[in-house]
Amino acid sequence: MSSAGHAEDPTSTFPKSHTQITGRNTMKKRTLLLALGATPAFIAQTAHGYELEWVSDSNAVEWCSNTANIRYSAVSFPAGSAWTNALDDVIDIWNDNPSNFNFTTQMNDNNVWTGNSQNETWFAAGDASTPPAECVSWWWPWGCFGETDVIFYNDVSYTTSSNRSSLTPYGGSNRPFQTTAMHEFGHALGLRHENDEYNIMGQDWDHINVNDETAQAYYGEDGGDGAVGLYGTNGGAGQDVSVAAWEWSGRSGEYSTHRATRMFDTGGSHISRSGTVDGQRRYIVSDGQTVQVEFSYENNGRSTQTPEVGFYVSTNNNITTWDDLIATRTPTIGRNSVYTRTYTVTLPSGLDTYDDYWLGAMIDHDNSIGEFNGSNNTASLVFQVR
Amino acid sequence: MKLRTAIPCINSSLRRTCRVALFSTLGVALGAPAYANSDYDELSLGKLASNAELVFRGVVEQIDYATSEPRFPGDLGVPHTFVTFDVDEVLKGRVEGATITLRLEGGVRAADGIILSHSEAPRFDLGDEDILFVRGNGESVTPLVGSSRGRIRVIEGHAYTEEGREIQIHQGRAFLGAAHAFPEVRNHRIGEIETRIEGDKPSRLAQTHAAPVGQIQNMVVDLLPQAIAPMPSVPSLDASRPFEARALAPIAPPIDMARAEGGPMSAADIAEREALIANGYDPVLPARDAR
Repeated sequence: MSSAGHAEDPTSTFPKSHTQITGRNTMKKRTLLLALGATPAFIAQTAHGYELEWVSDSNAVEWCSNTANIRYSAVSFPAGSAWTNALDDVIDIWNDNPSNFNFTTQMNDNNVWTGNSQNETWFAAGDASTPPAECVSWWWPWGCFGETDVIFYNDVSYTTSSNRSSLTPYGGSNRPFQTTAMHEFGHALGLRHENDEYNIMGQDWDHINVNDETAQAYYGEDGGDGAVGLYGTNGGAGQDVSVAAWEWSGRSGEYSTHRATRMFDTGGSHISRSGTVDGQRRYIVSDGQTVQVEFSYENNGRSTQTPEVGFYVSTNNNITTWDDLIATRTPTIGRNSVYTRTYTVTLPSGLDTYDDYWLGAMIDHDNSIGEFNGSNNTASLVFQVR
Repeated sequence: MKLRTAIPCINSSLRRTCRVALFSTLGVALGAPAYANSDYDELSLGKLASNAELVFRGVVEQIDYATSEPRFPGDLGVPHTFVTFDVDEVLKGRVEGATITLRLEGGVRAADGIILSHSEAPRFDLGDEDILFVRGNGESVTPLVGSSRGRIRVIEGHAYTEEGREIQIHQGRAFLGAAHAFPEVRNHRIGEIETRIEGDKPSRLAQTHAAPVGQIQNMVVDLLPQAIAPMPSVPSLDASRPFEARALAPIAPPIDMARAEGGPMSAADIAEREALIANGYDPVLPARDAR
């Protein structure tokens, strides 16, 4: 592994990857492409962004209003069921997005089908020809949605559980329903698949935030950026930063693929691993070793922030301010890219050998940002001293 | 009333060129990808083939749009796309004649011009060359195994996924490699509407590790059982004949699997977890003394 790719940013400031455009900016991609064409040297530094489907030079396929009402099937999503509650959570999280767009919901629709001019969601019978889920969109040639339906197929081993041990990205046997729903309602909002960075419109099941045993789906920086690109920035507070132990690893066609973030030695070599703990690989370090720890930091909110990131060592996978603070960094992150970065920290001396510890990052650990969601502010890697 | 639009094939010369390339291209080693790397996902061609009723290679020669019969008074029906392939080679199953027409839900409804699209379904354009793993033609919303997964694009004689990702073969197994933003992948026509998925990606990588399509075909054939019982031919559908849209009726959700509990925890760990839950999972907890 080359060390060049994991050198710590000496300024502790994450560079912006392209110009942030606020307001209704369906021309964002076009502007960016022109900029790239004019300045080839900029390409290497330029990150990426959401994808839209365009029907003309200025019209993407989107809602031509700032809201869409989603009707839940009474059969598939009865009021009060775990599935309904999980879906409600997803809609609520999407509605935290920093754009002017919001979903509203309506329960107990007894008559759902595609083509009735109502936006509906339900489970249908799956078979070998069906995808795990899909968004069925009806739209006019000028680019306005008339209807979007989200259909989940029942031959997938979905779970509404937020317990990491149940979920495939952490070694469980079930696909997280909420990450898939988050992806499909991204389509319902107007986003297409995206493969250039760690994002929910790529591979959904490992675009996830975990602390303690609890995993949660989130729309992420690029989902929020795409929503703003389509519908403009809302005027409210709308701030949220997060950190995840997942990163972009490549492309699977239109989808990004993701992998767990890593721990490196000071030379940039991936530190050796032994076994797994709670679905995460266990790094083996020496007493008091200085390491580079990698996480993905995101700004899912309305405006650029400079949060303080605290690095903690914990005896469990629950990273809180009760754990031992060992370092801080203060990056600047905008809603323009996912910032997967490594920071150098020195682990404490005297930790018990062959015991599991967690090295966690907590973004905004001093609570200086008025966030609408503080529960996505930690991520951690497991290690043992030997 | 059935509404129909036909688009003739306009690039037969391109198709011929493509076919020449298909049979003349050799697998050129351009540097070995790291197959042990998690960036490379294995593609189960055997699973695709075993679930398919028909596997063939062909070229899209015609696209028609037609609307299903009304489901209730006043209904304008559901738009469907009828994609007709000139069949070059059948790898599994049977086809009556030299062409086959597949029916996919989605397309343009002539009555009002509205467009229906599925987020995970393939999009076919005239002249596209593909290996298709067909299942449920006339019955399924998208009659391919795994929807778009049941399509292997043939571009310049090499094999790619619906989304333009290389299909590579290494030691007898198929893997998915780098993605190419081919125009065939990003630009589409739906009726009279030209759409494009636009992003800041390179348009075409300078080199490819994708397998020549002949290798993929041979691998599919090798993966099939030695003796396959005679199979009925897969029907070719006619866009001019009345049809009903498949109803995707709502059903109860699947059984949710119970979560497993974690291991034993110390008293301090339990107190910390309780504090986290009490704090709405915000990790910035009140000071211990303030509890």
